[in-house]
Amino acid sequence: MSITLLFQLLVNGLVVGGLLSLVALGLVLIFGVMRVVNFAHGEFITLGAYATYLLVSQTGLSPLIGVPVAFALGALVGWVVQVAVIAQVTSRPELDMLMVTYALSIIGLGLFAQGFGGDFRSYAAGPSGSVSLAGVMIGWRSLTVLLFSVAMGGATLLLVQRARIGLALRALALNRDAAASCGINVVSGERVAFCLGVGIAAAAGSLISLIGTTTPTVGHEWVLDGFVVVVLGGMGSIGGALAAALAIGLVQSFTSFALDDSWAKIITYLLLYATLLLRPHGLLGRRGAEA
Amino acid sequence: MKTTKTTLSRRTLLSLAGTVVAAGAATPWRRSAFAAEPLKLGASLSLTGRFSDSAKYVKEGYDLWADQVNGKGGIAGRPVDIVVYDDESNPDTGRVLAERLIDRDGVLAILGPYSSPITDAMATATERAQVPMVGTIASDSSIWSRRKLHWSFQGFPSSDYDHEGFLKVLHGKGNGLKKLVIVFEEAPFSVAAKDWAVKTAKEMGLSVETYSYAPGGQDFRSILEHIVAFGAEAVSMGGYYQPSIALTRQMIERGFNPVAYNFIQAADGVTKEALGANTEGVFGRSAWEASVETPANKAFVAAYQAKFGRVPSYHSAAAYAAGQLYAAAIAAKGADRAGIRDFLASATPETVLGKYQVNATGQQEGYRYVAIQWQGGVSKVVGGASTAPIEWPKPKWQ
Amino acid sequence: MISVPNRRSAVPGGIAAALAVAGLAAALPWLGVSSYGQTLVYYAAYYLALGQAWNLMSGMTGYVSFAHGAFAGIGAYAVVIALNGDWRMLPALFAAAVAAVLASLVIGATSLRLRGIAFTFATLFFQELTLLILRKLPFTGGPGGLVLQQILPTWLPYVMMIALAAAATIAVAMLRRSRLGLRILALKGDEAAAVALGIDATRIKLALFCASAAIAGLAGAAHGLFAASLYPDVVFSVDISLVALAVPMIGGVATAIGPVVGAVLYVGIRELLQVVAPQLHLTIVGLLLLLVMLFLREGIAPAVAGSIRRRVRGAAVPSPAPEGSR
Repeated sequence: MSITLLFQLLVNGLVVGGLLSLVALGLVLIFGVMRVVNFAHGEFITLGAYATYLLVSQTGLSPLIGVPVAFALGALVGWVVQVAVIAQVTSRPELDMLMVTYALSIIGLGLFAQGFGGDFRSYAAGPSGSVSLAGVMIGWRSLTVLLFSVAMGGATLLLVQRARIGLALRALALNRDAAASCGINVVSGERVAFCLGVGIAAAAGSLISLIGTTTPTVGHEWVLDGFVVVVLGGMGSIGGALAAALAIGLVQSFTSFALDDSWAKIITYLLLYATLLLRPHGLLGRRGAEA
Repeated sequence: MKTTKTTLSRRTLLSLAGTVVAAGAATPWRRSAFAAEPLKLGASLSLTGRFSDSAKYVKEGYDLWADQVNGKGGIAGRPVDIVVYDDESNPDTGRVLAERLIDRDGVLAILGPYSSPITDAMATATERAQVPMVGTIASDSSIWSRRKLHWSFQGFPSSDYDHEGFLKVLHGKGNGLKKLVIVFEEAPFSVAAKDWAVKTAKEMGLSVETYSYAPGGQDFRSILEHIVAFGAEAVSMGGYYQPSIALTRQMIERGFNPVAYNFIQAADGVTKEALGANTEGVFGRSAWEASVETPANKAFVAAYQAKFGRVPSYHSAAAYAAGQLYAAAIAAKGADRAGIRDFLASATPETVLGKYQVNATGQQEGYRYVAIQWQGGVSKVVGGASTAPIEWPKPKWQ
Repeated sequence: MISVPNRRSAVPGGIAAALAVAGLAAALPWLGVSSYGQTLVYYAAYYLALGQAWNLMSGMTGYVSFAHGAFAGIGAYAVVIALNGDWRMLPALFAAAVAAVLASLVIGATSLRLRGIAFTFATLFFQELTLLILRKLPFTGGPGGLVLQQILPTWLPYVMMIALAAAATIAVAMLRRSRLGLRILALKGDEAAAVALGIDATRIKLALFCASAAIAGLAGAAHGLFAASLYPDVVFSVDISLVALAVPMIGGVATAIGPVVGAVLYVGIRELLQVVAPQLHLTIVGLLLLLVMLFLREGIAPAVAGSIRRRVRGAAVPSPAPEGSR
C-alpha cells in the first residue's frame, strides 16, 4: 500500500467519521440528558436531507445555506415533538420511551415514502471538483462536509463545556434529581437538549444530501451506524462517541478497500456485539442498573 | 384516478354478489361467452413506494394500449378492461394482489408489474392458479432459470446482456484500450450480467477487474481507489440507478477520468438533472428508444405524445408491447388461458420492442438492448448502422 | 400496570373458543370461501403467530426485541434449504425451529444478562447482520435468495399457520395463568426485587426467548412455503419485525387476546388502505402505536374489556369491594 493511498483512505474515513460523529452527538445529547434512546433520530436526518434537496431544487440556493436552514427546521420540529409527545412520557420507564420514539420513526418513514416516493433525490449544485494535496485527492464536497462537521461538533462541545445552559445539561445528565433540587429547570433543560440534538441530526442530514443521495431510508441507514458509535463510545459520553465515530469511519474506509462495503458493515456490527459481550459496563452502564 | 374508481365499484359489486360468484370465479372466462363482455386483464403496479416514479410510466403504456384497442372495437369484438392495484413496491403484496386479481376480479391474464422481485413473487401465484403472465419489466433472467415456470414469460430484454452495448462500442472504438473495470451490485441480475460481460471482454482480449458493493451502496471511494490503482481505461457500472449516480459523483470528485464510462441506467431522463453537464459522453443502455424508426414504433410514439404530451420512456413502450402480445395471443387463440400460454411460449410476434421470442425456459432472446451516449444534453442511440457517431474519448469531468 | 387474571374459570372456556375458531378458519378452503378470503385469514394468522411469539418474550418480560423478523427469516431459509435438499416436511420444519432457537441463543448470550436497552440493541443489529451475512454465504443463494423448487398447494402452509397461531395463543394464555407466568410478570415489574426473591431472571428470560424464537421460526417457515421464493432483502425487511411488535403492543401486551385483536386490526388496516391509500399504512400503524403508548398503555383489548367490566358492574349492584371478590 503506497503512502498516498494510505492518506487517501484516511481522508475518506475522516469524512464518514465526521458525519457519524454529528449523528452520534445528537443521540448522546438526547440520551445523556433525557435517558431516551431516540429511535426517530434517523428520520430527523432524512428530514434535513429532504429539506436541503427541496431548498436547492426549488429556489436554486446553495446547499451550504441548507445546513443552517435544516438545523433550524430540525430544532423547530424537535421542539414540537418534544412538547407534544416526548414530554408526556418522560416519567415512564426507559422502554416506554423507546417504543414512543420507534412509533415516531415509523410515522416518519411512512410520511417520507408517501411524500417523496422511493426514488433517490440529488442535486448538482454546490461545491464541485477537488483539490490535490501531495497526490491525495480531496473533493470540495467532502472537504465542506468535514469542515462543517468539525465546526458544528466543536460548537456543540463548547456549548456543553462552557455555556450556562451546557452546565445545566451536564448537571441533568449526571443526576436529574440533584440537578432539579439545585434549581435547574428540568423541563426546559430537556427541551433544549432535544431541540439541539434533533437540529444537529437535521444538519447532518443536510450534509449527507451533499455527498450522497437522499431516499426515505437514508437517515435510517446512518442512524444504525450512529447507534454502534454510541454503544462503543459509552452511552452518554460525548468524548467517547466522537472517538468511536472517527474509529468507525476509518475502520469502514479501510475494510471497504481491503474487502468490500458489505464486510465493512458486518465488521462494524460485530464490533457492537463484541462491546456488549466484553465491556458492557465500561461502555454501557455508566449510571448503574437503571435510569 | 378515474380508472381506480370504476375498479373499486366493480369490486364492490363483485363482493356483494359474494359467495354465489365464488364458485364461478374459478372459471370466469367461460362467463364471457356473451358478445361484448369485456376481456379483463389484471396488473399490480408499484404506484407508491420505491419504484413508484418508474411504475407510473408502465401504467401509462397499459392505458394507452387499452384505449387504442377499445377505440378499434376491442379484440375480436370484445373491449379490454385493465384492473390495476398498487403493490407498494413490495413483492409480498404483489403476490397477494395477483391472487386478488385472479380470484376476485377473475382476470383472464396478468400484465406484469414493475421490477423483477415482484414479478418473481407474482409468478408463484400465477403458477398455482395457472394464469398466464408477461413479465413486462422483469430484466432479471434468474427468475426463469432458477425454477421452472410454465405460465410466466419474460417480456423485457434480459439483464444478462446489460453490458453488451458498451462492449460493442469498446470493440469498435477502443483500439489499444486494455483495462476494463466492471462494478456490480450484490444482486442476481447484476452478478449474471457481470459474468456474461467478463467472459465476453476476455474473449475480446481485455484485462478485466470487477468490484462488488452491497445493495443501496452510497460510498464508492474505496472502490475508486482500486480503479485508480488498476489504471482502468474503461469503467462499466452494472448496478441500480441511485448507486450509479453516487459512483459517478465520487468519480468526478476524485478527478478520475476514464476514456469511456458506462452505467447501464444512464439512459434515464433524470440523469441530466443529477449530473448536469457531466453527462456529456457517458454511455448507457436502453431497452427501447423513441428515436428507433420502425413504422409501428413511430405510430406508438405519436399516439403517446398525443395522449400524454411528452416522449414516452422505455417503461411505457415495454408495457405497450406486453399489451400487443396479449392482443396477438387472444386474436390467435381466443380468450383461453392455456391457448394464450402456448402462444406466448412459441410465437414470435413483432412489438414496439422488436421481435418477441422466448427460449424453452421462458427467458427473452428476441429483444436486445441498444447502446446510448449522452451528447449535447440528449441521449442518442450509438453503435448501430444508422445511428449517431460516437463521441470518443469521453471529455474530462467539469 | 400488570393486570393479574382474576377469573380462572374463564380460561378453559377461552381455550375451547380458540380451538373452535382455529378449526373453523382451517376448514375455510373446503367450505367454498374464495382463495382471496383465505389469504386474508392466512395473513391474520401469520401476524398473530409472529405477534404471540414476540408477546411471549418481550410482552412478558419488557425486553423489547427487534429480531423476530430475523427469526422468521431464518426459519424460512432453513425450511426451503431442507426441502430443496429432499428432506421430508417434518424434519424440515424441525430444522427451521432449531435454526431460529440457535440464533436466539447467540443474541441471548451476548446481551440477556445486561439491561433491557442492551438487549434491544443486540436484537436491532441482528437482523441487519443476518441479512449481510446471508448475502455472502454460498448455500443461501447469495443476494438472489432461494426458491422452493416445488410449488406446494396453499392449503398446506395455510393450515400450518393457523395451527401455529392457535397453539401460540393458547400457550400464552396458559402461561399467564401459571405460577411461572406470575413470576415472569414480577420480573417485568421490578427485576432487581424479583431476583432478590430467588427468581433466576437470566435463565427464565433465555428460556422464554428460545421458545419465542422457535414460534417465530416456524411462522417464517410456514410463510416460506406459502411465498415459495425468498429474496433476502424482502425476507429480512424491517416490516416483519414491526408486525411482530406492533400486533401485541396495539392489541394488548402480555395478554393472550391482545395480539388476536392486533392481528385482525393490522390485516384490516392493510386491506382497507390497499385500495384507498396504501402508502399510508406504515404511518397509520405508527400513529396507532403512538396513541396506544400515550393513552392506552396496556393496549386496546384490555382497555375495552376493562370498560365493559366497569359498565356491567356499574349497572349491577354497586359493590364497595374491588373486582374479583366473590
